Amino acid sequence: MKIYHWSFIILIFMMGGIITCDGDKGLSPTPWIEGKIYIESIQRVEEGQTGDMVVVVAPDFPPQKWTDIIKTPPLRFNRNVNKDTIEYRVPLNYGEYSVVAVLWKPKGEEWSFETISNILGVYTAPNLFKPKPVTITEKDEFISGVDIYADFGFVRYGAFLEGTITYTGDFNPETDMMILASFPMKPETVIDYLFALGWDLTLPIQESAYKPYRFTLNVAPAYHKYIALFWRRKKGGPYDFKKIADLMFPDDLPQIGAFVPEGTYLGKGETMSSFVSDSGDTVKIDLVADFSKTYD
Amino acid sequence: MKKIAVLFLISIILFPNLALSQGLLSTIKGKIVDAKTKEPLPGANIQIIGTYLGGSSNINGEFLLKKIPLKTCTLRISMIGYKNYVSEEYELELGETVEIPVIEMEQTVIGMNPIVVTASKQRQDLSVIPHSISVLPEVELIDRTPLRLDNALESVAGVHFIENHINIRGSSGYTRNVGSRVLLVIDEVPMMNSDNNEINWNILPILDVEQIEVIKGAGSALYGSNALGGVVNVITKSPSDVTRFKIRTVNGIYTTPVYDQWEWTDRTLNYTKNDISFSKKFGELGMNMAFGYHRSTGYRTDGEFLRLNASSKFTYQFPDASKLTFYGGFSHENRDEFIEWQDQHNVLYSSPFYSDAQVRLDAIDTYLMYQKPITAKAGIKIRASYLSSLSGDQYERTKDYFPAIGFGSEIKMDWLPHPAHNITFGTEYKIDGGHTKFIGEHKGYSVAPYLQDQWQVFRQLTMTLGLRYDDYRVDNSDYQESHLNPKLGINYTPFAGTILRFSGGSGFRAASIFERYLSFKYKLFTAMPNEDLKAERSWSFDFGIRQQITNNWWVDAAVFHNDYYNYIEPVEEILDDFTLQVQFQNVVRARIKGVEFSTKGSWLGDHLGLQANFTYMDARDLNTGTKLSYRPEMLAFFVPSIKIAPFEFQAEYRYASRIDKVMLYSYDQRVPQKVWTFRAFLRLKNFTAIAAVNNAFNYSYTQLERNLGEIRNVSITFMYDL
Repeated sequence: MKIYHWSFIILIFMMGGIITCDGDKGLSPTPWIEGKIYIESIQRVEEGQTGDMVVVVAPDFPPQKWTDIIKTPPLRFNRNVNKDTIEYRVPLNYGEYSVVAVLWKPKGEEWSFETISNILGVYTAPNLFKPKPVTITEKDEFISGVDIYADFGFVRYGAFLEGTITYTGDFNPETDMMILASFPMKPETVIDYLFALGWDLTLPIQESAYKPYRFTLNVAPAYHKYIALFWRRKKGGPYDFKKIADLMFPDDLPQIGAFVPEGTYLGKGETMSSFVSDSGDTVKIDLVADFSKTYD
Repeated sequence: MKKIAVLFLISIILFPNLALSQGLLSTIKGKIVDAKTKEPLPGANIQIIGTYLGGSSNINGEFLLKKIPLKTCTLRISMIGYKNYVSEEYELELGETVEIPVIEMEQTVIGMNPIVVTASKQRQDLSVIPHSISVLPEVELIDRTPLRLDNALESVAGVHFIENHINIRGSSGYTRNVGSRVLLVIDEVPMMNSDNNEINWNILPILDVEQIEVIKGAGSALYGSNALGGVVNVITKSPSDVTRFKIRTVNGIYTTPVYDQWEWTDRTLNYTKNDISFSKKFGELGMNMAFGYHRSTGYRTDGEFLRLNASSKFTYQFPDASKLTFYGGFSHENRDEFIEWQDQHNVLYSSPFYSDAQVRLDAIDTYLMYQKPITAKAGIKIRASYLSSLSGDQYERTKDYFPAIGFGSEIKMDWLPHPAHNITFGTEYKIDGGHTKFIGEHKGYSVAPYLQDQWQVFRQLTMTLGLRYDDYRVDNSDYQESHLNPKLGINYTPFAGTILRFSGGSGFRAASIFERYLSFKYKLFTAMPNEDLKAERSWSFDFGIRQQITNNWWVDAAVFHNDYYNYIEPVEEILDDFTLQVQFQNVVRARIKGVEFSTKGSWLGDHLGLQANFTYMDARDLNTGTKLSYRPEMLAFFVPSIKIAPFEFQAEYRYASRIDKVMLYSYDQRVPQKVWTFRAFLRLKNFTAIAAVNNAFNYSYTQLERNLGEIRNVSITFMYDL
């Protein structure tokens, strides 16, 4: 072959080389964040029921769908785990992530909404009870110290609140669902709602005004301060709901020299259907839900 | 009315046509040889122009065309690897045998205008076809060293795969195993799974394929539902006059992944694919048999699989020149299902959330076809087909799954009423059935008459007009749809070597049984049925030019514009429990437009070769103005080759631009697809060895979220053709 024939061949391969041999290897292992998980109240979990615990990272808060959440595989732990021996690492792409949290689910259950209710802890700024974002940039690819306190006291496991709901006002046909939830504090911010100690999404949508609905709410053994019934409009967002009934629980008597959270303590296996108010009266957990509040 | 139609058919089939039984008919005898070597050419196809009469040459290159009721005739000879040959006009005398001079065929490495059948359901020279059509002949198919036929189709301009979902010019995106917008036909017989209307690539025999034709754009005017984005026609070989035994074995190993932290095993991951085919004629009875065995460890966890397939084809040539063909195929697949990776540090580890998925799929496809020339200028073809596929989790399917069964039948006539008109008409009838725990038990029925006229207006201009009416019902219920799909094609040859073409037509796709009735909950996903799902519609336009530069070099350019209505897409809704509910809905009014270039040539006495394709497309949801998901904007394919007999070297480059929109995990990193494959061939008389390095630079990419494309692997292929 003549020289120009070889030139043709070389030219073709040079073109190919220019196109691809730019050192581009495509996808690569991504940057990561890492940290420790400090376990609290692990004894609340029964022997043999440790279940799965994962760290999740959400670019937006609240996340729009489950698949927007980046999850670790289940972390290894058991009831005898030392308080600060669980370490994790989450590979992430460059960008800002609004929430890093620890989720837990009981053994044998699927990851689902119940899981979301079992948020054990969130990465927060010191002394601030709100999520702290993490940002990964080319200059800051590996972020350590994203430590999270995971409190199994938030696990809904083996305690119950019993009561009734009585509906008043005209039923709103835009009703999508009713949510009954108990909290350790009166929720003020969106994140507060995630720390519900138990909730029920299966309430009947319309119950006769003359026939109060009896509920039994499965909750975490913990201090309960506030129970409320929320109404959600059809096609509403995940957090687009209105409170239509609520009740505050009294605080347990403080012990001298000890810090006691607000609310009434409900132990494992206990059921609370009434409480003694500050005035000494026995008050049943009866909620009066007013549909007129849904028409704002 | 039905009785008359049945009697008409019986009369056609049972009673030989008077014209053919007169006895005063001519016979043509001839021989075909290679122009250079003077070796006889067996298997060449001979057709008498202007008629449906023809035949093929035997092992000695000889042919005998009997019962020719003509006074003159002109022959067209075609054979893969040779230029089409058109003879002079021969004078015939009734009752006499005319021996014509030896026909010498010139070799060509580039199929300039191969014979295709898909465009009009009859054999035609590509130069008169108004559609954009790509042809993948057997030689090129085998040279791609495919483990399945879909691997080889990636070399076709405008064809792109998302996992095993074929896209022709962005037609399908990723359809989640339901409702392909590309129709697969084997020898013109539709072969889509009956319940999900998807393609089972595993069932196609690699060694028994003569060529694959890919029509781009709506093909519903002839092929009905599913041919919305295009048609892939796998044409299987006819039984050989001489005993033919072919064996191919491909063995490969995966190298380590590009990053150490992605390694997940110390084992050598490997695959093996073995194919055997056998062909022989016993008098008028011909048979083909093929078997395939494919086992792989996979290159990632949950990647192991076993695939088996077998196919057979029997033909019987009757004395009156009619022909009966039976084809049967079987496939078995047993595999773990890798749904998504764990994370980007563990891309070869299956996510523990989905680590228990397993799939088993068994399928059968068969057809019986009868072809008969009624006169020299009219022929009839009748066929019936049966398909069965049984899928599901291998441990539970006996409880939850039943075979999806489909029946099809067609009667088609070709008629040349006038030298300028070539008319094809017929009726197709189809039943699709599906039955699993997740869809219930349902059937879809369709009946579709069609008519097409190819009109040679003058020597350089051919027009094609076609119309098909489809009536579709579900479960004999009130749900019924009717679709009228017209098409217009124009083919103009202003100068020798230049072909201008235009085609426009509509297409439709009835929702598959799965899309309409699927109802299940799996992990975080819930699928909801939608019984009111309407069929998708499309209007498709294509304008192209094909230019022959030299005897061994052509270029082709096309502009396409496809509008889609009632596009069926999975629509997500986030439930309160943060899980994803998916329902198939008619939501999108979409448009896909673009340009496509392709060229193929060889130079310096076939020492240098080049095949290159480039497609640019803009795929948009017109309701929102956003891009359609899973459609890369650019596709490119580029294969330079050097041949110094008996060796040949190829460098193949495949490119797909970054996919801008995906359905899930939109935050994940995505990159373009840039894959180099190098091949070295040793070609001896009956033996070929191919060494290949696939994904030679170990480039890492995903087409489907969290599914790493195949990592670098090295394979060696041996093929023996007796």
